Amino acid sequence: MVRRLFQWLDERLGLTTIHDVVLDRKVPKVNWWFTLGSASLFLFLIQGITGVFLTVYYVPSPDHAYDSVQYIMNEVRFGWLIRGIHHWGATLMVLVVFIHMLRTFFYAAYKYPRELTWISGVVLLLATLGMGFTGYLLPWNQRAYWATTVGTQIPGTIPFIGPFITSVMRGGSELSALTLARFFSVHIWFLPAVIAATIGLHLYLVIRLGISHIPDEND
Amino acid sequence: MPHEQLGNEETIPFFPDQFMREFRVMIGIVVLAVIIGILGLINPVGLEEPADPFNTPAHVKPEWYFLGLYQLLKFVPKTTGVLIPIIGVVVLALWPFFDRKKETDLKPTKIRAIIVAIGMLILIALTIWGGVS
Repeated sequence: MVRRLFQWLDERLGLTTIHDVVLDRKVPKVNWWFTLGSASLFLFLIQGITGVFLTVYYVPSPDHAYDSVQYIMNEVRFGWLIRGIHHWGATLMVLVVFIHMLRTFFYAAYKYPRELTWISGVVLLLATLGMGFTGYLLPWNQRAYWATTVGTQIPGTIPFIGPFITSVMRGGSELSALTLARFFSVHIWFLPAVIAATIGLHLYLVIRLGISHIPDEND
Repeated sequence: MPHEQLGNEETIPFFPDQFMREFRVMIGIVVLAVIIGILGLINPVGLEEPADPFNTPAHVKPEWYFLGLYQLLKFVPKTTGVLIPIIGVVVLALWPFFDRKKETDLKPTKIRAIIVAIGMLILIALTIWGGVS
């Protein structure tokens, strides 16, 4: 019965092919440093899940943002745990993604034919930092407000287009309800969509090209 | 073809060998998350004071992973300071096209180790400096 069900699904979904290509592929004998990619993916999933739960109570408006975070911390059952994991998970994700890049650089895994894997990885690193930058403002406390004031000033010094970039980031000349709405939207929709799509490309390339081995004497 | 590179070296199947290793790392992350959660009971993630647009605090600090960049910007002229990271990112993204020679010995690996070590030292130093100043 189970066998027939499996065959029925396999015929339609191609489960055997997926198993052969994704799970049964041969990889070089590698070390623990090669687990950082899947660790990054796992952290992204944790951030996604805890983030979805946080949006249930969080309100992205200057009048309510701070109170809603306080409510999550003090009133919502296990709210402190979800926010704690999301907060520290962000730090851990930046670290893991960065060390993953250092590992790739050190072992020259970016060389032919993996140039596009590297470029998609750079996009993922930038998007991860973007998540950190936009997420920092959301509690709408003093630290967040002024760090973002300075943070949005910095691109303003780029010649010609700088002031335009700053006003797009802030939604005006000063930080306001518009800024918070923009940062929230970028944090929960734009960047996660970019990250998810780029992870798809990144993983496709990793599976298609195979991972590179550790450089050795007789390369 | 890339697959041919795997021809004459020792390989392992992704599943279960490498997968189990990755799985253990994921378990480690879950354990870490739970520990962080329990620590959150004793020392919750702070919320500090609510934002006040009319009151600039004495020390404005970004998230810790931007501290290095923040510290750098204090010392170089503004336009240069903002162009350095942009150029840095472009060079980083296009690096595989600058360094494409096939490696025949371990020398390039050693050079890269030095680049990573120096880069990390500068970054860590700037980050700590930005953190304490």
